Amino acid sequence: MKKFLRTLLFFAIPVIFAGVAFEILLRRIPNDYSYKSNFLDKNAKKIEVLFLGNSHVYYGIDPKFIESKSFNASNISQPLDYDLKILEKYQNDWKHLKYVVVPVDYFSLFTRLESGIEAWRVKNYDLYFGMYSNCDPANYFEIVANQTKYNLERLRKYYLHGESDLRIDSLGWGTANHSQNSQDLIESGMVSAKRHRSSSEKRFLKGQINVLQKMADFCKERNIKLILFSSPAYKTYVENLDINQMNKNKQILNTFAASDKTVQYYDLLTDCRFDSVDFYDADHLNEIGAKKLSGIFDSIIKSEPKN
Amino acid sequence: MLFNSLSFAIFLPIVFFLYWFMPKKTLAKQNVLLLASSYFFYGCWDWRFLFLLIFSTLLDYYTGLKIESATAQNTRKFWFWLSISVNLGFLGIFKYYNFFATSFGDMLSGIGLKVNPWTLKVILPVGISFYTFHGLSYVIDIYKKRISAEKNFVDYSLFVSFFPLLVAGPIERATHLLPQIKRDRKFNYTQAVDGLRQILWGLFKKIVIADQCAEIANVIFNDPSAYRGSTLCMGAILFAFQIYGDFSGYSDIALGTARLFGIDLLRNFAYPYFSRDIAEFWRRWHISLSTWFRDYLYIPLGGSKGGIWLKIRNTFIIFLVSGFWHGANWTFIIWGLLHAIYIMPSIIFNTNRKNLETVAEGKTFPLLKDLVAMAVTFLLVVFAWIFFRAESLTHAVQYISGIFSESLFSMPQKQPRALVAIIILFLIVEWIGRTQQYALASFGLKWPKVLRWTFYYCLIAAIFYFTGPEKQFIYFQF
Repeated sequence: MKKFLRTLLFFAIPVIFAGVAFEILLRRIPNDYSYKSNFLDKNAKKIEVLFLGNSHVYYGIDPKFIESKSFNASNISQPLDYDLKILEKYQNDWKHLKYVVVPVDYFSLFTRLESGIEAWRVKNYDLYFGMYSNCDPANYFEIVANQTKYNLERLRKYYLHGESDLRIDSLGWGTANHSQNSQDLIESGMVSAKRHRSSSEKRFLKGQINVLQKMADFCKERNIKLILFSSPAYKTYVENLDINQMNKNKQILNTFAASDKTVQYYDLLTDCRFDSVDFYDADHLNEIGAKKLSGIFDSIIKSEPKN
Repeated sequence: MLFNSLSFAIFLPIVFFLYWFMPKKTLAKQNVLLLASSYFFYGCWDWRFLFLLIFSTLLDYYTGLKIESATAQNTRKFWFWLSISVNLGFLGIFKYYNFFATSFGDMLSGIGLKVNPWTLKVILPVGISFYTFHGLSYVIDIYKKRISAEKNFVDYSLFVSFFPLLVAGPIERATHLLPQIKRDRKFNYTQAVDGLRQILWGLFKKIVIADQCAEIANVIFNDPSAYRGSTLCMGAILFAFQIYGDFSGYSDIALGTARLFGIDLLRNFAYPYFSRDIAEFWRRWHISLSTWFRDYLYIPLGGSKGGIWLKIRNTFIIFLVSGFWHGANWTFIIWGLLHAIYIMPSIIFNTNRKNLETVAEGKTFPLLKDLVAMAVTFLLVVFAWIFFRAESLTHAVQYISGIFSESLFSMPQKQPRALVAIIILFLIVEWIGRTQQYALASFGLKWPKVLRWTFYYCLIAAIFYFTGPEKQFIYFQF
């Protein structure tokens, strides 16, 4: 046995060393999650308006068009339960927070990050936000979350060319969706609507409504206004949505907002202020649309009576 | 918990160290540890199905004892059929009920009667086909008085649930595994090193061969209408390597893992794509299942005794049942039927035991006639895999009609040169090691240590390079 262990250890040392070095190098590449986590660590106390949510907010809200001190803490595919986790993580720091703005989209109540194709993103919250998702060790390592060839490409870009994984500006807005390289709105509408259709039906519904309730309670306790909204989308996306899932989503949100006066709900899904020029693809805004949506929220916030 | 996951990479060393270094180590303690680890391993998929596994284990354990102790034949029969019907009943409910219900509904609507068949919304418990077959063989062997019933419940449970084989085999026999479970196990350096080597080769097959082939094969199979005949042909060949890499890779990891605990499991694969006819292919592909069907279905049905028609009938039955075992879909049944048709000439002309020895044994290259025979067998197998992979019969027919078109002789739309090069290298290693238990068993053993280790590091680097988010093994769905 001793011989076996000795040989195994001797054989494994270079493998372990390479793995650890690879992991460390990957973690040192700046990315959206590490940036947002660091930003909140330092500035949570100053923030007045916090935007949470998925890619619709990530690309759709540019905080520089909001007069109050605001930050976009959304991330691609970030579900409601992770929005709540971010709120709770800085619970003692929200000294000036007055508004929390969260999108509750067509798919938000019916999906969970851990169970979809975006499950690999869970590690970002564990590694960079210091959260605990579950006991799967794969969620605590960069090297196993993505294909190694993709990770090698990240290393090459950062360490040889200085290109990090950061795709946001200083206030957390995702800058990649530019109007100059907009996607086909018809094709993307069909594809996204199909992708967002829930296959798990009501499996996650109860849990996500519970999360919404916890978020509302959290805000109420701290005298923070919770603003929920359905993100604007182009008609090619809306037309391809499952009507039952869409109605169920709206009905839940209307009931939720009606039962709690501290919660506001805005349905912007088919808002006529948005046109094809505002969209990068059928369900994501470009910089023109982001300016518009940010302006809408700025107006909403300004119109609120001051405490 | 998948064999190709980080969880398993943590789980296995922990169990290994506890197993060999536990204080006051005894065989009983080691078996309890292995059983607890196996239940934990299985529970990681869905703890609720643990109850089904434990119930199935209890049932077969108890009925086994009852069959053995009964003196009257009727009592023996009662306990025997109770076990068989409950085991097959579970399999029927979880795996086949919806298939029969919807097929019945379709049949009625075919004659103008519209019915909405009542289907079950149940998930197929992982490994149910495998552990049910473990239990069935055990009970049948006791009933036929080939073995004695196992008195020790832990030992019997471990025979059914030993984690390396629990979810996708090999399908073990009590005569082979139980004596090993009951025997004191001493750590054996050569066996353990060999086990690690087999795990390494299994991971290579799964991650480098199967998963990479899957990336292309899936795209082609998902939309056959978008591809030329040549591309579809390539997609089918890639699927052949995918399923081989996936399942034989799994089996290698299972066998290698078991060897770390001093247990030898049944061999499941013996280079099936080097077969010169279909009969040889079935002696080399999923061996533990083929021999199970031979011993517990083909022979009881009369086997090859009793004339040519009985032989033909029995052959068709086992291939159809084998197809159906893989899944409740007509595609699997047609897959089985195709193989039954393929094997018929050798059954009729009694040439099914023609190629018993390894091809070109003792030679570097095969004879031209062997090469042609291997190529023809491979193509027949690939053709049948199309049904196995297809979602439905319509899908399979669409795929095949796409292959047999003028575009078969055009350039494929996808040209994965790097993958083809890897597959060729893989086949070379397999060819060199074809007389061994697994290709890497003796590959490079005579090389200097530095060179041999460098080769292993290259394999690890390849595995690491291609690794990504965990991908399921195909046979887990069966």
